[in-house]
Amino acid sequence: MNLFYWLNPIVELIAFALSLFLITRKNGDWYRHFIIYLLIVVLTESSANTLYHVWGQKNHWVYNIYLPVQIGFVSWVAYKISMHLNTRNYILLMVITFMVMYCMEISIRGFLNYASNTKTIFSLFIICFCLTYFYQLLKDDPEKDNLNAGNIWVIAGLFIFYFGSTAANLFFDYLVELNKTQVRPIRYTIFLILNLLLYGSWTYGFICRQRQTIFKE
Amino acid sequence: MQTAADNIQGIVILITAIFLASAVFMLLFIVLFIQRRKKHAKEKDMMQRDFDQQLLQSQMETREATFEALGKELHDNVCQLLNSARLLIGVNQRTSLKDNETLTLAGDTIGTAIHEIRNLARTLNKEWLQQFNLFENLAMEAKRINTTGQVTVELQHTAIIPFETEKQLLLFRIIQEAVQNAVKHANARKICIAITEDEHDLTILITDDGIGMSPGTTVKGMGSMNMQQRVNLLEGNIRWLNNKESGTTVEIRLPIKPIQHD
Repeated sequence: MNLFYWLNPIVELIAFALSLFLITRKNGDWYRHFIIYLLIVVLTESSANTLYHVWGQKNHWVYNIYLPVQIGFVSWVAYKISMHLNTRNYILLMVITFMVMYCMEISIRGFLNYASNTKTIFSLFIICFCLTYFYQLLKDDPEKDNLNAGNIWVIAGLFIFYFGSTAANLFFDYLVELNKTQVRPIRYTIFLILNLLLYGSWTYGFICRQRQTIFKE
Repeated sequence: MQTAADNIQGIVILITAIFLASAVFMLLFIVLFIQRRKKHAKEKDMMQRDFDQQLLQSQMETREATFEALGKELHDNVCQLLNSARLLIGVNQRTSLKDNETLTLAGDTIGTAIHEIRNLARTLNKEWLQQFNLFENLAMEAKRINTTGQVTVELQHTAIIPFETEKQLLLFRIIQEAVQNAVKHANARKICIAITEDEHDLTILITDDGIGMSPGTTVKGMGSMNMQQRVNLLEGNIRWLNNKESGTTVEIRLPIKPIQHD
């Protein structure tokens, strides 16, 4: 068993452990849902890894089950963070588009093949959302301490992850084929770096959120 | 076949690297922009505060100059006129054959008025005030009010005032206004001025036994506004509190800073 393939679950497990330590479980703080989401991520990644690298089975269906959870959570986070009603309508459109595309792609390609096109389209939506959020942030009241608020780092993580994964999503089918021949597959390496940046940014967001809660108390 | 795969791999790596770098640069730009804007807003706020402070300072200086002019006018003009009036009454009394009680009373009243005006003119005179310290001036003010017999002003102090003369003058005017308010508006019989000092603050409590304020009343009016402005100039804060039994306490807290020498 190649240890390299377990680096992603390890990174996610560390992020989950840090979220347990950093996120306040006070009622009303919606950040605590990150803990549940990160646990799902760790379980998904570990089971998909075990299925493919230990038992030699195809694991795309595991990611197909996980995809609605991922998109649902990211959309919900975007909804919670979004500043304006227009952005909220945009998120609704994003979710509806995802649901339609997901159903279509699963019915065309089958459940055993990963719905990569749906994810690519969703990535475009989330990148646009992040850019809108940053634009609103630049116009926001300079007195607000946005850099230490946590939300900006959550969105920054999402932006880096989805923007950085554009090429890997576009060339998904080629890279999956290459995966079979490479010792350290390029797609896996890209996602390892992106995951590091995503969870690093989120963890910093959790720290900011924790500080903010302490100051409020 | 292998070359095509290598090409695709190269393209993916290149695009990902470019996209990642762009994302990171964009985030850096946003973070720097927000930081700079915040710094700019802070500087603007500080400049506004400095400007307000200077404006207040000049307003206070103008007011002091007016007080001084008024004091001189009272001393040099009104007092002289009253003196002349008293002299004329004296002449009239001497030339009159019988003793006129009304004229004697009028002469005495004018004498008291002259004395009061002189005292008042002194407290309005900045140059005169600068020769003394705050406690001496307060004691003088208390004595002046006590001589009326209507109100008793008591002065208690344990502190040494750590302010320059100008600031002492500002503080004197604040206390003077508070005492005048207690006399004029609260119908107080007894006023206590207590000045204490701790490590960080100088605390001045002006307590009276007057009618007090109705609960929920906000303090407004020209005099109170002037007091608030002067306290702002001294970078302190002022509160009007209702006493448990009766009357009001004006609490002034001023931060202690070392005296600045030019």
